[in-house]
Amino acid sequence: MLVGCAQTPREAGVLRVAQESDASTLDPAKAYDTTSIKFARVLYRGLVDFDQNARVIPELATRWTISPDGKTYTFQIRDGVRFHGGEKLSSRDFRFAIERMLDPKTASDGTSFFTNIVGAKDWIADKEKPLAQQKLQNIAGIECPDDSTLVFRLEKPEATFLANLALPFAYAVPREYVRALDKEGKTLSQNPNGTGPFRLKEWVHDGWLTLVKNPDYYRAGVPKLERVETQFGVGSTLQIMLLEQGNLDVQDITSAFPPDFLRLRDKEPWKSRIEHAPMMDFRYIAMNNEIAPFNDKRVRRAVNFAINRERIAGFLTGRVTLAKGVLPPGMPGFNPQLRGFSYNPQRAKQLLREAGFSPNKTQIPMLYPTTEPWYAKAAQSVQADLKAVGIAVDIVPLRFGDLRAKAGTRGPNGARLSFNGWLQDYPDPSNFFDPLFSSRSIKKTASLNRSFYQNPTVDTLLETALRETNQAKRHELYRAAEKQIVEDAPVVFLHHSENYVVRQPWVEGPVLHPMWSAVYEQLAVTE
Amino acid sequence: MQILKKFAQGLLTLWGVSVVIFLLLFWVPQFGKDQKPADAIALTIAGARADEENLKNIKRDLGLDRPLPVQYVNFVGAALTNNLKSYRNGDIVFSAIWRRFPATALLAFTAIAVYLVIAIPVALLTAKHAGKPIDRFVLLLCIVGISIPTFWLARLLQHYLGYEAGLFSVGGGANLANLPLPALTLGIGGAAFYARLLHSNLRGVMRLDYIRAARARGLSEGQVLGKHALKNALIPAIAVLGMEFASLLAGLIFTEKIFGWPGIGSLAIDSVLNQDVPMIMGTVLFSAFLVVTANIAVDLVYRLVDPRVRV
Repeated sequence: MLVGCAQTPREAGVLRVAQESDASTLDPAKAYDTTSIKFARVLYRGLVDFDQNARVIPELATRWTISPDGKTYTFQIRDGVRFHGGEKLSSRDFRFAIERMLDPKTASDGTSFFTNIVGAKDWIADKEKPLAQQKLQNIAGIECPDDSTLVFRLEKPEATFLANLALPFAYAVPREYVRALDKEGKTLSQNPNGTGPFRLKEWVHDGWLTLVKNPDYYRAGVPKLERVETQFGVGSTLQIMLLEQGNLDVQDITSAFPPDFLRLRDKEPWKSRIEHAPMMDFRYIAMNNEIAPFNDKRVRRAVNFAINRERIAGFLTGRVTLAKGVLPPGMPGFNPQLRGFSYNPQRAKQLLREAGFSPNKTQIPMLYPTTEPWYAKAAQSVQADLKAVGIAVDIVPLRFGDLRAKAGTRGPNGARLSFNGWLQDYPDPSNFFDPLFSSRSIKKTASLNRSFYQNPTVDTLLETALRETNQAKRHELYRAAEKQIVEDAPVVFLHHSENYVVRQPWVEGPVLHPMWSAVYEQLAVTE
Repeated sequence: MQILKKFAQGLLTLWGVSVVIFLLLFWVPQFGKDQKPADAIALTIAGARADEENLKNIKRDLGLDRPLPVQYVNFVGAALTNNLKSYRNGDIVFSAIWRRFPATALLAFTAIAVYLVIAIPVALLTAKHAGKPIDRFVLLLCIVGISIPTFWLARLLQHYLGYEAGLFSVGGGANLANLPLPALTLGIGGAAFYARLLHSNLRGVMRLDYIRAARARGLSEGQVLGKHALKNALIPAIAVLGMEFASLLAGLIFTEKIFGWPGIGSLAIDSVLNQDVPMIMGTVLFSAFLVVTANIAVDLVYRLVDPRVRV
């Protein structure tokens, strides 16, 4: 009863990991934080997945065709796949999953990825009505001609539709099983039943979670592990001690305390057991482009020149790549030729003079979140940099939720300067440009475009890129948009984080992936 | 009669705690902020879906749009029928707490055992050598022991005894292998306190007539101290145990977190960090319940061992 998991001695085929916070759900329709997505993906599977190079590959679909107008997708579903509970997988389980996810009762964060399916908006509107007035049986644009064929019809072509389907939101859930759970008042999160390589053995919230191999996983020889034991509530320092003592097998040290991180990074045997890859995020300071002084491009560019990014990277012991533009390295469409801004206070002062900016008396509030300790140091550093060129800034720490609300509010009640981060939903350039810089994502509240930046040229480029199915041409369009965005400098381009992972010598297989925080099915623990 | 009165007082205390924790979470946070606590809670729950419509729905579903007294009654009702549910993962709050109770109980009782195992011999030693250098040295150690904050001591023991010396496990799950360091962390402060308490109790008892009588009968000093004096010196210490229990619970919060011990203390910290309001209320209420129960229990035991208290 008392026995948790970690601390069991090493055993071949058993992976022991520890992390600070638990998943909030194992329901694929609701999984939207990194940990929940990680577990939802090993329990459930979708039509498609991402490979190590961030390319979309077949998973439960064996193949698909896209109509010449880019609006109809037809999938062939793999034969003989079964859910953990024994139910045979059918195309209708995919339709059910998306219908369930779009139902407002589910309160999924993923609805916006699928509203381009014909009839999806009608479905949502229908489900908002009282039960007696609901008319729709299915979403019009998802058809299941037979158990192994699934057809999606879209309102307009969408180059990222396959990537959307690779998110857990669209993973197959067994329809009869879920309906039965609903009747009993039980949740899918607590009683998962998917087609993934692992099954859930035990989940004690904020305690531990144990996965066991799914012997019926359709792919032969996968997974290689018998069991994955995760312990929650283990702080970063304790994680590293346990790792060094051989009690953990793989450990993420991306946000480990600097002394702990440096101890591992600079000394063998750990030094050569560390791997790193871009986290696929973008850290920036949003400037409100609609309010003076940041409604002037010259002032925004001056701010970009005034800030010493190297110093901020130092607070993170270098676990970052300085941002030249919007896309992180490793992202399809990344432009290595982009020059971006460098630290040049003289240039900043000159630009401010040209803009007729005179040193301000009333300080401009700059908001930063209290989620990660480096933000406070970075805020002070930026405050000093801006003071040096004559911009007076007051730094204001806020809880994450409060900052998100403030930074997403348009107009004088919102933020004027705020530290923000964007983490990809999936590795596609549109997932950075459209939410952050398209005028379509400007909202009165909960705006994702937090600089309230609008440029018709950029809007047109982004719209065209979203319809373009030729990847090389798409990437050209995004490069043009990125160039314009850097020129307009709606935000301060700070950096992209780098993921760091340590492994024990007995762990084989990839420990980093451009999309998923773990791919347990490909790992092995040897004697 | 006395016992009934104690129970009534205990219930009154729990009710008071429920009011205070409710006001602290739902009423106090609005001062100095342009946001009502209910809106902040809804915002946390909504996450990425924080548009007006969703926020309104969340507040309606959770009853956060009702007047405060109604919300309080709903909260008490939910707590009493075990329907208080976590905002984060839908866990039933008291069931989640109960599942973690064995881990916390094991740690707490081991810590109390550490108190006594260290304090009794130390107190006997210092009482025997009262006023001598060894007594003064132990006194100094005890002052240090009482003053060290648990969260710091926990990190020291973890680093030096666990990580550097490799004598004990540095932490992890709730099992016997991981027990020594967290128990020691919690035990040292209490042991130091008890060593001083027993010491002065012993000194007081030693002046009593029956001790002189025992000596007169030719008993050795060891027998006098260990057999006759200790028994009576321990009785007042039991009474203090009830109060000491509250500070033990406070220490548990940090200790469990630092050693990754999945008990109620780490649950309390996680619920605060996740802003999981029902879980915060649950852990506070449950801790209050433990303190009240411990005090009643101590009271009962005290009556058994010291007949003078019975009325």
